[in-house]
Amino acid sequence: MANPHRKSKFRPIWDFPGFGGLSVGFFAFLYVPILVLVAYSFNGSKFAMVWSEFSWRWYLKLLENDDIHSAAINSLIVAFFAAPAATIMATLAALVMVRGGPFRSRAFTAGLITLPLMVPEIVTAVATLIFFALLNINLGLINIILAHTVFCIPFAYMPIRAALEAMDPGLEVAAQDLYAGRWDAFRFVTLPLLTPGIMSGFMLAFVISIDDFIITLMVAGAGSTTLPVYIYSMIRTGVTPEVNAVSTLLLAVSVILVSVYWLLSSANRKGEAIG
Amino acid sequence: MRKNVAVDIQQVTKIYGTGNAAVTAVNNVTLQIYDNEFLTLLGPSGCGKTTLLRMIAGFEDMTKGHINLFGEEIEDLPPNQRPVNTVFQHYALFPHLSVYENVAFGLRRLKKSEAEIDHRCKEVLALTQMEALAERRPSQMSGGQQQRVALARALAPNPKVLLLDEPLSALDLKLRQAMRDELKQLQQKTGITFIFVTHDQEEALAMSDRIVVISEGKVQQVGTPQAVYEAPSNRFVANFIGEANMLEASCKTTGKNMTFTLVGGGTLKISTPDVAAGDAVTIMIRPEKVKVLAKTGKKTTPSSLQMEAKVIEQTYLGSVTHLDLACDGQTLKACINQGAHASFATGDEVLIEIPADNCRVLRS
Amino acid sequence: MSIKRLRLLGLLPTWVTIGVLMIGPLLIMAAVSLMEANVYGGVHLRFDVSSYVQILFDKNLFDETEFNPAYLIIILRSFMLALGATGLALLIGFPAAYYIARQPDHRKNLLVFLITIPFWTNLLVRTFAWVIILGRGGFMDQVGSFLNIIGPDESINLMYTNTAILIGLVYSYLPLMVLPLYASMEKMDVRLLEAGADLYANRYELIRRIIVPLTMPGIIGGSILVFVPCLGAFIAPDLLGGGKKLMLGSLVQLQFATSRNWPFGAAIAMMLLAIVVVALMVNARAARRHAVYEQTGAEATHG
Repeated sequence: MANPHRKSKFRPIWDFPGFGGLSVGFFAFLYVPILVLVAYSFNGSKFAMVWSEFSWRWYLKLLENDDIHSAAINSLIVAFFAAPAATIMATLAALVMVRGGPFRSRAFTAGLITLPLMVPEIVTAVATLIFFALLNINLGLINIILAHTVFCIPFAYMPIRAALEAMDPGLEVAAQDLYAGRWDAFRFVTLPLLTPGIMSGFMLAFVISIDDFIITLMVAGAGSTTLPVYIYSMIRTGVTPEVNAVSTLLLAVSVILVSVYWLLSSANRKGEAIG
Repeated sequence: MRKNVAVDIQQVTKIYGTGNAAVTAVNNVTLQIYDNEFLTLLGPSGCGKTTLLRMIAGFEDMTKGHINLFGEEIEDLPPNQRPVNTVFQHYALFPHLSVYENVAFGLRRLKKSEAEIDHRCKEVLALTQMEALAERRPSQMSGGQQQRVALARALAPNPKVLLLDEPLSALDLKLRQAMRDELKQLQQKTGITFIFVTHDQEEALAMSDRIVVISEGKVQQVGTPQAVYEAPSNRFVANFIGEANMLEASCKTTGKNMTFTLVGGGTLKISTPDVAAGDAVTIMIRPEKVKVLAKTGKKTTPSSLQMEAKVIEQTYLGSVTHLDLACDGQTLKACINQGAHASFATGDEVLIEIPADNCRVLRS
Repeated sequence: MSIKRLRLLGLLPTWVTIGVLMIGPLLIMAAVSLMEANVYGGVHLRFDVSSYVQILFDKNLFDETEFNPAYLIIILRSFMLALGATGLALLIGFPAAYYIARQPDHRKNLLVFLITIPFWTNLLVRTFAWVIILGRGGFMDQVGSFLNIIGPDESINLMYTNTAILIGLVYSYLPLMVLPLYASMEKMDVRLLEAGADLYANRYELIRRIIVPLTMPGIIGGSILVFVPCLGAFIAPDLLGGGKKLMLGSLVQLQFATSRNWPFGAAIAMMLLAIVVVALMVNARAARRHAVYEQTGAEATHG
């Protein structure tokens, strides 16, 4: 039993053997499919799943595909309208919820804001479809913009609310002590400090709108296709690497936007109110 | 009477980090802890006492050395296989379990029978006076109650050694003092070896059979409270426990009439081993041993040193009065009993007497 | 302007938008589920419960009402797959959530970010990745023949099976399980594990007796966040099940795409909604019960 030399690896009791390996497996499971998707977008062969050689041809083909262009543009248009609208509403709502003091409909409002997150997407999609159809609202892209705005609100709301809560309310009081009226205090103290949070909220709302599929699928009329819906129709017609290519591009856009959001919010966390 | 060694700590060292950033928390500590004793590891924050305790429990590994428990090597055993239990500093009670279930936890893991568990839990809850609260949750109790539950939980599995990591530090003063007595009695009643960690020297003196004074990872002294207080082995121990007056001196002659000359003049005859002529030493005397006399007083002890001093501050504390005295460019502290001597006022010129018998020679 | 007015102004846009574009449609959908179907799509404004009846019963050739198991099978499949996906997600996510929670801060944040990235990407595209992997001659088959598990022309042939859908579901919503789990794990005091070990618990017992009870809010929260979307999933059964193995989500979509039976679709959607409400109430109750365990020892009460 005596062991003069230092012994087998000591593990602190909270360190579970194997969990590290399982975590690696976890991240592999999460990312390998995406990597496979991206890798196959460079597949020279016509058959999406059989690898032949490295090639850019599918990306080049994308550049010629007018349908994809208009679908992508539609996606951007929708996001450029829905995201700001949602962000503005979310900002106002967050200001009231965090700084508005106690009021009766607080719980109701909180529930209302998270409602789009709680209801399964297919249910929202169908309900919105019925709504537009029965009320005869056929405004093309505007239908989609309206639908997107609704579920973008909670996504914009969360980071803005978090930023507001992290902000020291004493700062506004200090501003008022220095003769700033309520509006001035908001404009010169709250708003500038809140801006990174608002930007984060906007980014999230934008990403969510670009990526939405189910709701857009059901609500979109003819002629107002967005990129995810178009990709779906491509998949239905037949799987070619072109689908991989456009999917990879969509993925890239999302990843970039989310990374920007993350960098923004980490910087935000580091630059918090002093004292 | 040869006592049984409960915990044998041999040349234990713990180093955190490597290279330039390496920190030695425990530095080559060798120590024997006996069965059925209340031993305290005493030292300032960061001295390594908690690290040493955690190594005995098994939560930290050792860089070097061995630890034996009743003759068996335990350093390779994980904490859940060592028959040692801990009372944690912030109790670490399981919030999702009742008091009873907390106390039963260890016994359940040891697969004891339900009857045995019930019997033992009731026994230990009675010992710590917690029977009435058996069904409560930890969050519903005061700090003092939680502390007892933590104690009961650690005692329930009948460990050979009980480790207590500053268990009284989160309690307020009155409670702390009451718990001191209870812990001492508990140890005597159960006969389990208690290893108690604290930075509070009063606690250590009040409860321990022996004290281990630790500083910067090294053992400074091991001894009974009396030994540690009256015969501290170095400056650190002398200063850390109680108050001490330090007088610089050098050895004039050795042998039967060993004499020391104080830096400020005056001599003292103190017999002490391991000192050569010319060595610089520190002579320590406790404030309560310093005699304060009126200017015209006579020497009360022939072998004492008398010096002139002036009272610069006095603090009346009821049963005693603390005096700060300026003497030979130094401030000395004296502590006199109420009514024992004449009273003194600030500014008084007095005589202080330093009896050689109450002095202790320390290395510089 | 008074505080009250300002509040109203701030909340009105959100109230109106979500009220008109979400609550309104949901109410209309509830009404539609109780109307008569119009063969050309849309509805006749007439009260009719036949949609709900249709879930379980059908009129046979002799115009008699008899029990129709077809939709029950779909409901059952949806439940089983959703439960299975939730269980698998829990199994896969638990060790990862724990491991990440024990990392030093800077690494923790990065790892959490890596978990959330897939969550923000397009679900269709992510599920499509599995089409590439599981398809005939796809990535999995290529790896399989490379490792000599199957011959060069054979296929592991997982496509269009319930298993494929299960994998797709787990993959889609795994981050939603891990994040609440991680939040719970982070809050847990590691010293409780030390106390448990001090009292002779082995690692398995530490998980079972201490970690699981204390992270239960995260477990339940994560489970609901996975179970609900899985029930109403549409993409996974469509792409990976080949449209042959229907789940509730695909069933609903069908009514509005080809079958044109709006009330029936609405009825199924209402059923989905009802299940979600029940799940949320379960979550709320469990969260309340376990909230007490968040604190421990001397820190909880002013010691």
